[in-house]
Amino acid sequence: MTERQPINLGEDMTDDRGTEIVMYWIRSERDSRNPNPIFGPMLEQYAAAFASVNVELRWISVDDLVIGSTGGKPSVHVFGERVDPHKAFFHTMLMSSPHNRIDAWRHLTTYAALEAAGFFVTVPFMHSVMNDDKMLTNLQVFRGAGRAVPTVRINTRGWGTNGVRVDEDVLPAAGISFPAVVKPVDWDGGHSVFLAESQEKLDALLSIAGSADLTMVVQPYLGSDTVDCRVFCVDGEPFVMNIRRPVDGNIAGNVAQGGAWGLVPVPDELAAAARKVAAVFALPYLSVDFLVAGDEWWLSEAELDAGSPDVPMAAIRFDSYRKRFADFVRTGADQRTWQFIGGAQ
Amino acid sequence: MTAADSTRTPPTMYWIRSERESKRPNPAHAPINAMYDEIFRDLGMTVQPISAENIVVGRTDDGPAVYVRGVRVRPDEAFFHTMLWTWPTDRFDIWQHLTVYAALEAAGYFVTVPTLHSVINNDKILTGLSEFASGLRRVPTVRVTTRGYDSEALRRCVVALTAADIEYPVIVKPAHWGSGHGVFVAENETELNTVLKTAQAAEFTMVVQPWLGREVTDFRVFCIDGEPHSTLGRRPVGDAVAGNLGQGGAMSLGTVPQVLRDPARKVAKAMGMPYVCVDFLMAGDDDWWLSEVEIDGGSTLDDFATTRARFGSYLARFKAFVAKGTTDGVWRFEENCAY
Repeated sequence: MTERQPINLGEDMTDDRGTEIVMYWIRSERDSRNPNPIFGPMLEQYAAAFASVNVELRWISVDDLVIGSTGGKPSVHVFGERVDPHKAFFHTMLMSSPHNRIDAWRHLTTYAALEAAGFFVTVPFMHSVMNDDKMLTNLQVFRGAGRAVPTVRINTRGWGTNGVRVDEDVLPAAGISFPAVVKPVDWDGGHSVFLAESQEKLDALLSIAGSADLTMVVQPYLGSDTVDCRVFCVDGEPFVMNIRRPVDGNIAGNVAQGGAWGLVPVPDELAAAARKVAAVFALPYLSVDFLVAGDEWWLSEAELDAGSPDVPMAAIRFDSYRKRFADFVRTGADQRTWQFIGGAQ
Repeated sequence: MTAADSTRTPPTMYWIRSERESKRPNPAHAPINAMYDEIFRDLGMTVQPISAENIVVGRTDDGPAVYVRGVRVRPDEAFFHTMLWTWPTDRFDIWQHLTVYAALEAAGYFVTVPTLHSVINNDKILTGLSEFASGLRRVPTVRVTTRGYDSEALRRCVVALTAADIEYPVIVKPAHWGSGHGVFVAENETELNTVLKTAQAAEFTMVVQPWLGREVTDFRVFCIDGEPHSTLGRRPVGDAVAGNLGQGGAMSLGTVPQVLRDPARKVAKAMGMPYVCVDFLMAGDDDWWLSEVEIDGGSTLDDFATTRARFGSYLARFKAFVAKGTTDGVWRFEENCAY
């Protein structure tokens, strides 16, 4: 599981990188001024990756941005300096872990303002919503990419304590029986993934989650032999897969939970499914997660901003941002990332 | 089910209310709610106020399933009024609401205000920056966040004000409030600094705009299906800065000034909503600015006709949605794909 496979960096890793550009990484409000030391090794990897693709990385907070207009045109200032949409772009990766929750609105509206002001952002704000609620991948039809893990999404405000409950038929109707996995809808890293053996345990857990008004998802437990396969895609094309397996009786195989992992070539069947999902999102970089148990597999969720496990992978990721930004500049910096669609009659 | 079939039972509109009043409506809203009830009866709609936590989203063998208070609702029988609240009391709930709206859309239900539109609606600078505002004269605006506000933050704000040609006195107000609350006229940098410093207590995002004077009338143009329908004119009274009714402003209902019809139509058609309000500031017949869109601009107690048109437009759009097929969601990533 831990043996590394060589990754083809691709010949175009070395092209059109003559002009230095800046990527402003809008960090969590909770570490933008005082980075969490636990991220130190990862950030060192990222620094090396940025250096290899000739992109200057600057960390900022949403508070470092002022958005206005100059001569009737949109203008964005970072640290009081005007930023040129032809020379800089923004990494807009919404953090929705609990300590970032109060900031979600400020971040989303800032991403939207940057898009509207004609700047390239790596994750458009509507995609951020999609990315951070596990149910949304499940509900969207990704051009027949495959079956999704049965999921029920529950808001827990007032659960139990204020008489809120879910009818007992809802889980069976979704094909979910006990034991069932229950976890926050907008967290990641395998944190707080709980296996509820019974309705009573599920109720107790939802009641505790209600203390923070958390939205939770309930899914079937697919067994301890299930592996989580993350397929990384660049420009819609799968290029490598990270297999993650729970160890020591853990429920989740995420690396943050001590799971065993290894990079392997993408199997054809999952590559085809991942390609369909990636085509819908149309982002320079994303990963598509599958759960695989023997010959069976389920589409789990899309992770638009999945972390990169090593320097070469990070370099591929950040170079995809750089190249998409270059395309954006070529096609006109006033091109919008979002638009109103579908509502007009 | 066909569109004709869908008329057999009165459609239900679930109004997802503020978490802070979903179980105990604010008595201050009783008169307008009474008018709403009369209109809903008139339109043959059933309306149920609910809270976000009354909704469970799951699936069954035949696709996504949405339950409201434990009862499954079908996308050809019910829709959701998804009007995001960004008042200070609702701030904690924004993420929960936005993702519920997105889940309903993704599950194939008609929502009156899609997730994407809710964000545009609730940050005042987005109207001015958006494509649909191009070519229209807009109020110069600078948007500043205030977390950790200090002298360096003031310097950055002043840099942006200078670049935007905004001079004192200026209006400074929260980026995501409405009804004229928290609108302050800062006569100088000292006053602006004081307001921004205070706003940091709640880490508010604020906008700064030129103060256009008390002779300016705020014209709200109500648009139904992209067409200007009627207006609400509002002017400040006494020493008030804002003319909003919530600030005691003088109001006048009427027809849409000719000069505002095309600009309002341009914005409304771009938004593609059944109902949208477009706000303008007018200093004279030919002297006007586009101020902002208010997708969910509230109804006026004295304006039964516009309010009826508002809810009637939701109902008509829902029926059109059912006729087209309930799998036709309100947003699509595919259509945004450039690659």
